Amino acid sequence: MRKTVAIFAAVLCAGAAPLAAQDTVHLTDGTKRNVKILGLQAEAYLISLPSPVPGQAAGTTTMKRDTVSRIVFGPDPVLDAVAANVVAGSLSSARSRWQNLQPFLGIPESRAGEAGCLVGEILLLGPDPARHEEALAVFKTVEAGAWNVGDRQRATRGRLMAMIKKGQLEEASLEAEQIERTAEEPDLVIEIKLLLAEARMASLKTLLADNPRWNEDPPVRAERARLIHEGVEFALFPFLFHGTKRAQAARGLWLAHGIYVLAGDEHAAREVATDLTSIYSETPEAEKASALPDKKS
Amino acid sequence: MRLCVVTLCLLLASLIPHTHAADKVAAQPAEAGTARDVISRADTAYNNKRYEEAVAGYRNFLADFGSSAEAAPWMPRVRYHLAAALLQLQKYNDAVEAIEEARNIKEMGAKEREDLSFWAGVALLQTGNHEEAGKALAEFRQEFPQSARRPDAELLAATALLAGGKKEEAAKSFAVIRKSPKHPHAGRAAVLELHCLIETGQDNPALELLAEEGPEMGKRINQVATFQTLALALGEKLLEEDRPRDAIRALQNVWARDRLIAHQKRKLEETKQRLAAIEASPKPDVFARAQAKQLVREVEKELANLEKIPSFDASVRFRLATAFHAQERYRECAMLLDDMLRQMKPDPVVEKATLSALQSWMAIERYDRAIEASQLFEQNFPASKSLPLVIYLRGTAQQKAEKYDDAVATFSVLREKFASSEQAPRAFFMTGFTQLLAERNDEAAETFRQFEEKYPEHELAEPANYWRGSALAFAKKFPEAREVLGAHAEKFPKGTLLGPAAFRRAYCAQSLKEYETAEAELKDYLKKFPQGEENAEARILLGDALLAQAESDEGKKVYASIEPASGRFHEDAQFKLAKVLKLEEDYDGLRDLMQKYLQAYPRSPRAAEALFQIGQAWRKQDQPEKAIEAYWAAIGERGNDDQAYAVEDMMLALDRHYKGESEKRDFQARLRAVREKAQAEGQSVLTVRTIWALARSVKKTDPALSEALLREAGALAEAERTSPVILADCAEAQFAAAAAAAPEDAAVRRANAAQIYRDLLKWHPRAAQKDKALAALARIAVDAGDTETALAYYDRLERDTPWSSLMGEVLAARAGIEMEAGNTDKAAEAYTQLLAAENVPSKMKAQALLALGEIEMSRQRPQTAIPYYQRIYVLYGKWRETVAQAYLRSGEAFEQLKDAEAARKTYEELANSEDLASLPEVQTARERLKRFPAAPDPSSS
Repeated sequence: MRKTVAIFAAVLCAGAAPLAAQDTVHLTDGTKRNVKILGLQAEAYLISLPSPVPGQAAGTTTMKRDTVSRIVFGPDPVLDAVAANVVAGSLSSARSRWQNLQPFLGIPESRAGEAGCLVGEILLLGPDPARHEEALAVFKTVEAGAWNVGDRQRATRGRLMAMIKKGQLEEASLEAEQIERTAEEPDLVIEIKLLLAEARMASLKTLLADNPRWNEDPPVRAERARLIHEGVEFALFPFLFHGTKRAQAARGLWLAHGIYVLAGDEHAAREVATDLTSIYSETPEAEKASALPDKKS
Repeated sequence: MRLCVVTLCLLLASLIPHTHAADKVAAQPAEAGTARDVISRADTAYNNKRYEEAVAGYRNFLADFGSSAEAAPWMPRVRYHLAAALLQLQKYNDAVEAIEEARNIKEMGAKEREDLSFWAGVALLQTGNHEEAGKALAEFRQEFPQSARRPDAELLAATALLAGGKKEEAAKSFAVIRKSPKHPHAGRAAVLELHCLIETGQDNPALELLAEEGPEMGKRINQVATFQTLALALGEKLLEEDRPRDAIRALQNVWARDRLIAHQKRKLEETKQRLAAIEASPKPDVFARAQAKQLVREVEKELANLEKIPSFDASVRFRLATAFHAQERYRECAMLLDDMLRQMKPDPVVEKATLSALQSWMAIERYDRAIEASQLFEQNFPASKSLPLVIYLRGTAQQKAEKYDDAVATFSVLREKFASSEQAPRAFFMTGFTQLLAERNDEAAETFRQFEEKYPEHELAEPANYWRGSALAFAKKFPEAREVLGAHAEKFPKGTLLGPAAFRRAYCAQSLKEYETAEAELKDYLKKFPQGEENAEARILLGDALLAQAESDEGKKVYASIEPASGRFHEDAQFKLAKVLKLEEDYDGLRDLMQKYLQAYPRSPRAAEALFQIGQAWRKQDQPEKAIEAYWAAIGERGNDDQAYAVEDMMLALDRHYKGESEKRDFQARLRAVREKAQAEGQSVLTVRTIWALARSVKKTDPALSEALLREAGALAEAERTSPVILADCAEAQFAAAAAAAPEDAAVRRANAAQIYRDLLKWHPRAAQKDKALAALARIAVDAGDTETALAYYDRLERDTPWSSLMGEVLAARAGIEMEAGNTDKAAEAYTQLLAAENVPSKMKAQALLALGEIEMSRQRPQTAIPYYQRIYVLYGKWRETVAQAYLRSGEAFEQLKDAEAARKTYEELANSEDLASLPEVQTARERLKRFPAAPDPSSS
């Protein structure tokens, strides 16, 4: 029994230690300390140290930034839960984490960038323009200050999406095209091409709504043709050049289908729908294509 | 098969265990000695991998001591090691026998028995006894179901089927392995299964396999390059079998070469690290080490092969493009091939691809991309034999994109650089044709003349001759045109354009008013070419020619012979007939004709004209009331038809039939009645039309009522179904109301007007009122301080309605906006455009000149300002205020240039001008003259 209690106590103490001091700070003198980083001042970190006396509350103090070589941040179960479930209901948790982590945006190994991007992505889920505006601001902050290239790129994607949601299609398109010229990593290029396709499709819808008799107006006819050509070509990019990136290829094919439908080109629409069902049958887009009336017949 | 053998050898190399390797001992020759000595030496040799020596030793032992009782305890180990050593030496026939003998030893341990059972299958496989091997491996699996080697045995059994030529069965076996959860050889089985399916022509299951394994192949399959090479081969096969969509399904599984190499290099690095970790451990797992070594070898080999194929991507892309082309999906084909041109080094494959790309872009009318592709082709393949064709296609694309100047330039370059090419004469011809399209008719005629001179025997010589004549006709050079077209038949007796040439020649005669000649030639044309395309038009001209010669009966017959199927020619003919009937005072006939026209073409824009003829006929027969009733009847029939565009004209014409105040009131009362009835019956289009007609009718007598009625019409009108004439009037009424209203109400009225104009533009893009709508919207934007939107409307107006009489106002407004924004260059540009525009009032031009002068003065350039001012008082003298200002500013400019004499003269002219005497500038000029000394008296000496 005594042995059992001792073991239990040991386990309890071992479990308690990480909860009280989650972050590991490696100092320039080669030592390291387990602390909880609470905040960031101009020249120092505000930290919490566990009390050596059991049962006593932790104390707070500062640690000069120039004595710290790196920080290994501890687990963040709240952020992990948000990342695993990017839904509108996670917004308040995401915002809370972002607020806490934002001061550490530029500090290596922090997850501040990820937190910001999650907030932005959740804000973009709904139709509320005020939230789109907020998302844009968050993405801009992450883009400008995140230490992690991946977070910055994610924020760029998010910012372009936010601009598209706000109706700033042309600006988003122009910027996406600029980025595409210099980006090397195919995922970002693919994402931008799909964004551009969505932007062209949105512009085409607007053009057709504003010009129902477009065929009687030569400049409008020319603009319609341009939007269709460019939209379809952006949409087909992942399918043609990165066909094994199945989710993006399917998404692009479905976008191309939508543009062809707007253009009244039923034959071409059917062709890409058949591509979806025959090549990417496992995707949600293929399911939508299967449900189309002509596919059913 | 080769894939199978390689796999088998590599697998085998991993499966023969080694005991812990001792330090190497030098080989010892077979020696005599005790049994223990012999075995010890043989074991040492075995453990040091000196298998020949070990085999010799064990055989010696068996020969010398095998039958003795003392040797019995050693027999299991001897037999086991002998079999293993023979396998290591790849002496499989001997190994089969040795394994059998070993297995017969009852004392053999369970572990060794398991090994021997497994090796039996391996050895039999190696000796080509595939079936026996399969049985042996099946026995092994049955006897040792929990063996760690079970997965290996499964793979080997399937491989035995493949080696034995039973590819279909092998495929099934590999499929079972592939689909078994967590099977260590699932990835390898996928590759082998795919190979078997392709070999046995089971293309659809092969495609299904690709679909199942493709998404995760990077994780599941180590030999991913081999897998994808098989996918490529399958794609090629399906392409050859004319199954393009299936070929695409296969080819979409192939990664880009760089990605494949990067992936395999990563895999190689990971595997090497794993191997190093295994070898560094105190007790290395032999089997894991062997597997890792095997994988390293495989991946290195794949990488080496890949790196030998620099055109891997080109090969895949080209096949994909071919598949899309076969499906007539030219955009996809063009995109793939275009990318090859941009990404890959120029080589013959890329050259061929580029030409196909160009043609594919042309097929979908993506002319800008076609032009780009042609330019890149020229850059990358300057010595290509296809270059003339490529340049020719570029010119054609430019022509189709209406870039006529560029097209002519391109064709000229082709002619100069590749004069002897097949495309050179075509380019010459197309130069002329492009000039025709650009309405540069004189140039086109000359080009075609030169073509005929240079290429008299070319297949395009006849079309060139015909178009030369036509170009001269379009340029109104009718005698020259007749000469060319008259000689056409003689030059090209078997030509295909004899009919059109004959017609055009007769057309020229008509244009020259040589009616007798025209009549003869048109009759000749109709006789010789009864099915000619110009048949209907020729009949119209013939009718006109006959009437011009007072041959009205024959003329009428000709007009009447034009079939309804000829469309607008038939319609034209009806009105020409009507004219004749009117001249002949056959009013019954006229009415009958026009009634038939109205019935046949109720929605024609000329319906009002037909009704007018009917009305005129009644009036000529002194029955004006019937004329009026005819109008009311037509309005009653068509008034609610929004596609009957002439109804508004009918209503305006009807108004003119009512003379005097009293009749007007009758008309208005009847309109109100029609309106009420229409409103009650829900005829919304007729309701709006009648309100509008009423507004127009009372405009002069009661403008306020007119405006109110138009506002009412505007509120009721559905823009899509309302004539732009009505919409424009309603919008103007809103503007007029805004001018007289309180600020809040005015804002609402202006917003209403703007919405109506926007609806007009949206639903009637060809409306004659388009310029008015755009100009008004621009004004509204300017008033709201939104100069960006205003400029956008002005841009649209200039682009869409260059004929607009509002152009002067628009350009002046645009210039004003640019001046306010400090963009003097753009302002100057707008003023210069204004000066060049045809339909601009001269007052506006004078003001534009003044503004241009002011811009130059603001730039401290008085020397360039002066000519602008001088043009005003030289050319626009009637605009006194502007002239006076110009004089004054011109004088100031001369003063800035320190040219006192010119300044003084200028001020004097102004001061002494009788015409301008009443203007304040004259007084200013007099004041300024006081600063100058008096001019010398020319008479004094």
